[in-house]
Amino acid sequence: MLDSALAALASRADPSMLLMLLIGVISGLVMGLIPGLGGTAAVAILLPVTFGMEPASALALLIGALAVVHTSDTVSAVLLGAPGSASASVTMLDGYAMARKGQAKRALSLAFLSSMAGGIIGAIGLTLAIPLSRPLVLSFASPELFMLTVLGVALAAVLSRGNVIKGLTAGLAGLLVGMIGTAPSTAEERFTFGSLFLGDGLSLVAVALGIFGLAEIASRASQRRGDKQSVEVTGGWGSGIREWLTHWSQVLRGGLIGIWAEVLPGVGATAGTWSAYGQAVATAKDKRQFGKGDPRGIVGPESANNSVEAGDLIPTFLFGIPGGVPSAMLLGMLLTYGIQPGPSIINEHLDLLYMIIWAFAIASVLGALFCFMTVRPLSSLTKVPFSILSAGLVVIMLLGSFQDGGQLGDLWVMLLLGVAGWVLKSTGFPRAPFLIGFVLAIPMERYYFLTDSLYEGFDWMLRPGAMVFIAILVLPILWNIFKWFRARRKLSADDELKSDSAPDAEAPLKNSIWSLCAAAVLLVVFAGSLVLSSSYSPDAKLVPQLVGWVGVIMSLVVLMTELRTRKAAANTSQQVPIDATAFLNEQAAVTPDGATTVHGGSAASGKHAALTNEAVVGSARTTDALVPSLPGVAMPGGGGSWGPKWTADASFALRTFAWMAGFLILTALLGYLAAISIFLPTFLLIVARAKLKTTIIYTIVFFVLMLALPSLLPIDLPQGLLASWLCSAFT
Amino acid sequence: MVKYSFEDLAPVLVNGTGGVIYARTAAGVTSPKDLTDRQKPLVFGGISATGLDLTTLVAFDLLQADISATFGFEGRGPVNLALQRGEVDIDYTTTSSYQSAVEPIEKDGSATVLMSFGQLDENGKVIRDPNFPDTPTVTEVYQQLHGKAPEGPKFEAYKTLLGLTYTYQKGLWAPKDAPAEAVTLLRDSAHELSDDKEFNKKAAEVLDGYPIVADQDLSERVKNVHTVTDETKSYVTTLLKDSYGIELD
Repeated sequence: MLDSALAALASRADPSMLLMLLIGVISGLVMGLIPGLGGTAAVAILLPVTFGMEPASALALLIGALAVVHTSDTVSAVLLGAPGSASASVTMLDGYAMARKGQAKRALSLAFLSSMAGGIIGAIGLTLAIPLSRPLVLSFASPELFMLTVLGVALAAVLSRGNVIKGLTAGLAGLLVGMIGTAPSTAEERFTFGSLFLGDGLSLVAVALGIFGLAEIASRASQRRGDKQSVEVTGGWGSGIREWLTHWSQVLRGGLIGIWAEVLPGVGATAGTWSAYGQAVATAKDKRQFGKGDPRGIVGPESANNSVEAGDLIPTFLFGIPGGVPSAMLLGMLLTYGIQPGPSIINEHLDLLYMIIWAFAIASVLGALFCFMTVRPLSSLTKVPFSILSAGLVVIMLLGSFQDGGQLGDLWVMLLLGVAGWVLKSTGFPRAPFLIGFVLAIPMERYYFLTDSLYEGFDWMLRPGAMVFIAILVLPILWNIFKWFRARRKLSADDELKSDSAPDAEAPLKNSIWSLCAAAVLLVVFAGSLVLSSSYSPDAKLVPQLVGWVGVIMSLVVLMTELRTRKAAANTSQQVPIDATAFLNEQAAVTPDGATTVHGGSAASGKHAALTNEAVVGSARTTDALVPSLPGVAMPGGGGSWGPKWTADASFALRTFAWMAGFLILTALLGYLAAISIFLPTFLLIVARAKLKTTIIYTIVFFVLMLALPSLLPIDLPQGLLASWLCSAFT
Repeated sequence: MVKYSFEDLAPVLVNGTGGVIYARTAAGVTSPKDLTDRQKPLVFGGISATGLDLTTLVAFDLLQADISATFGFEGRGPVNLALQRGEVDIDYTTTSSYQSAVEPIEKDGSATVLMSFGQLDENGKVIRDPNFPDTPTVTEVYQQLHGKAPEGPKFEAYKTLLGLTYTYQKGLWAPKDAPAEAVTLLRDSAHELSDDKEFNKKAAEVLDGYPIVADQDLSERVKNVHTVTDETKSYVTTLLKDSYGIELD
């Protein structure tokens, strides 16, 4: 075994092979950087190039690209808060928070160095585990796979920053959205309202980029200034490496968690990355910084994430079961070279297997190294005012999501989800569980259904594997309940309530009429899903009904909490003005745009003054007049027990969504190229208030890029109605 | 949405595939005899009853095999894994994945191949699959179990499905309004190709050795295969509705 591994390493050292790997790595990195393009696009563009090559060179090229697309998609997750994949959303939790504190360089350095280490740990793990991988894969039956999906959603809900109940509600909503389309057990159409387009289900890219990317743009597009004052791009590579080295144990632990998850395709990657985050949180003494930019929250998951990657290929080669579209294409390539996948590959092509594993490792090290070296220019992107960036981002993200199915409908779905994502974010619902729920909905349903039909009663719960997962799920809940009881004896319940209602810069509309409405809407959605699914066949409605009922309960709990917080806030607002001041400062920090806020704020306070304590409103108005640099002041005062209402940020976000809708309408009518040449300059001039020169250069550069892109990459530009009218007129 | 009807298309060439039904020995199956009179029905793992699984389901119904089917698997690969784990007892595989999925477990004795679907010959008779010359076909197994040759609507339905889903699975078509000489030229060249030794040697790896058919009678044969009698239709819809609770409209 060791011989084969060494022989494989030696063949890696062949310069022409390394060159192929290098070309693959570079094209993979570029693909990963563009939100919406990933492994599928990378393999699609490189596959035609490989025809006629030696199998080894062809493999090196493809694997080089596949290994790194998830390294560079960290960039958009950390810098823009727009993860392109389910596992990148874990890195985003702390990475994006850190970047927003002006430490983008630190976050990216930590992430890339961990990727590098993760890739190597994963390869070592796989090298040792190949002889064991067959029994390991076979030991995961339907009940274990089902529990793994539950674990994935539950971990995301518990670990995301914010309230656990809200996290679970968001996760359940994601599960519901993921079930739109064809049912896995009966091939019935569900929640499609008769639409053929929805029959295929929603596209992952549209969901991920909508719920995170567009939502992020809407909530930050009002920033016309860059984070100049606080951005740290100084400090050499050395300081990054030194800090990273202090977290070595987290890197190791993340990588090891990645190894066991790596033999389970699809489900394993998501659950594995979240488990890595979970153990980082669980073992930390001081947990307060998690979700706010804790380095440990980046290092562990990123290491796990990369060690999982190579493992995706194991089921592909050992059983001929590809874990995703890219590995399916790779499988097709192997077959044309006459390499049969199957258990016998261990005996017949062991050297090939090792070559692949180590090509993966070398590629991920190279990819992370390139990224690490470009961290400084990348992170200075945060110096550019976000409103200027957002014009281009809207255009690129919508194009990226168009590539998935080539349907404009996907873009409208993405926009709607963008609005939903913004509401969730602003009202303090974590969005990561939503995305994980969406990704795992179909596997969860499939394996629950199979477990239910292949095992009698609850026998499956007695399987050792299933018991381990159940324990991982239940023990922390019991422990927390125990802790809660113990804490309750010491502290009054009042304090707990306050910590939850504490102001939050990331969720400015928490505990307001907004969050109350969000909870109510979710309740209506879950109840509606119950009504809709009641007409499906018994097999097809089993899981939707289950999700619907739990969702109704969870959203009821959220709704009750909202009402209770409101009542409590109404009582305390009369006695505790200090609380309000804390809120004000937080508000001021997130709304640098002075003039409009003062205007909107006082209007709001005028309307709702009657509801609240006169004194608070009065003092709010005076501070307003005296200290114009603290414009947020009027909002909590005006909202009183109802919290902020129609804030300047909210109206700005909604206006941004209207801009995006306008862009989509233009695209549908005139086509993509014409639409960007109208949208970009108007958005830059009116919303971003960019200089005329910047606007012109920006627009021209984008136009030329987009004109050239289809001939460089496998990309289609949306054609408008105008083009098809012209076509039909001339023929 | 674009809908194509085979009525408006002319076949240029067809190529097919085959498959085998195999079972887990630990479930107490060593020969086709173990399919009937069971204490506990064999668990069949499927994707969806209306897909390629249908041919296998009709074969089970024809043979009166004691089967309980569970659908909802992601693909044939996962069913094969589930069989190796013992969650599923009986499964089928197409020729292309036989080598990677079934041959290894057949060799180590944990699974046994029971029968092949067979192929339709030019007269519409079920013959042995060239890739599994030593494996009895569904027809032969029927004879073995029930002591007489199969006949009646179930057998007609099986033959129709065998042609549609295996023997004539893949086709290259030209639109009806394409110039006749162009279609003839294409078909004649394809026929020549199917006799070319050099081509067949190379194609064996990709096409699993199933011949390319492009002879004079092609149109007629394909037309016959695509003509589904009302009797077959009503049998299949009744089977789906009564055994699997699926209503087709």
